[in-house]
Amino acid sequence: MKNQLEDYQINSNSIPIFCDNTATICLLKNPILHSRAKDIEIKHHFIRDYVQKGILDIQFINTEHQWADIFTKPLTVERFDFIKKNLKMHFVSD
Amino acid sequence: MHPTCTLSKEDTGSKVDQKLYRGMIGSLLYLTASRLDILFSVCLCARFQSDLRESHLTAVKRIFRYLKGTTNLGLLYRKSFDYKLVGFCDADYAGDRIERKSTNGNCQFLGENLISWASKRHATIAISTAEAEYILAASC
Repeated sequence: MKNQLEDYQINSNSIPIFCDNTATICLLKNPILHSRAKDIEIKHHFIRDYVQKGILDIQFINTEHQWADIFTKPLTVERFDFIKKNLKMHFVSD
Repeated sequence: MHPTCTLSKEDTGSKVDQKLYRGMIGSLLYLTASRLDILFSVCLCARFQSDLRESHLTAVKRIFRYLKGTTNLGLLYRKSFDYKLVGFCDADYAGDRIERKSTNGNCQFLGENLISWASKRHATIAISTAEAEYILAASC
């Protein structure tokens, strides 16, 4: 997606990606291989390079403001409507 | 879909017409291109296409009923000169009860407008929440 934006002369360095797990963020920012992380497939490790190069910027976000929740689990009505509103889904009056 | 609603494979309910179910899932998957709110529910229902039961069909009918009530809901795109790309990613550890695989969801905003979203079940089984999120971060 970054490459596509560059086609439109929009250059963006350090794209922020919000994650709600601090352990993952530490794992991504620290290039040392942990014994617990050795079973992760190699193809997933390329993201570390991106973080090291500064193309991606992984940041922590509270679960409350994690809008991607809607795509992963069944939610209660209140939370569902709240996220929908924040994803800019609105009712159009005809 | 409500949190208490769990669809499972070991269901003893009566069998239903597969052709009808697949047709319904097909139409709903087409709709997910503009209605992101049903994306997760549809993807979940689509996993049961091989061994269908009455409860699965009821879940799909529930999605249709929700859609009928919210026909004029849509994404709003406002004019903005802010072209900053921001990504959100979240993983549900072992969200799939049958194969214990994690589900990931991600969405990207350009400025304040939502431009891309996805929901996907992992190909591998993660052993911890951190690993699930790590795999997700690599895929978005």
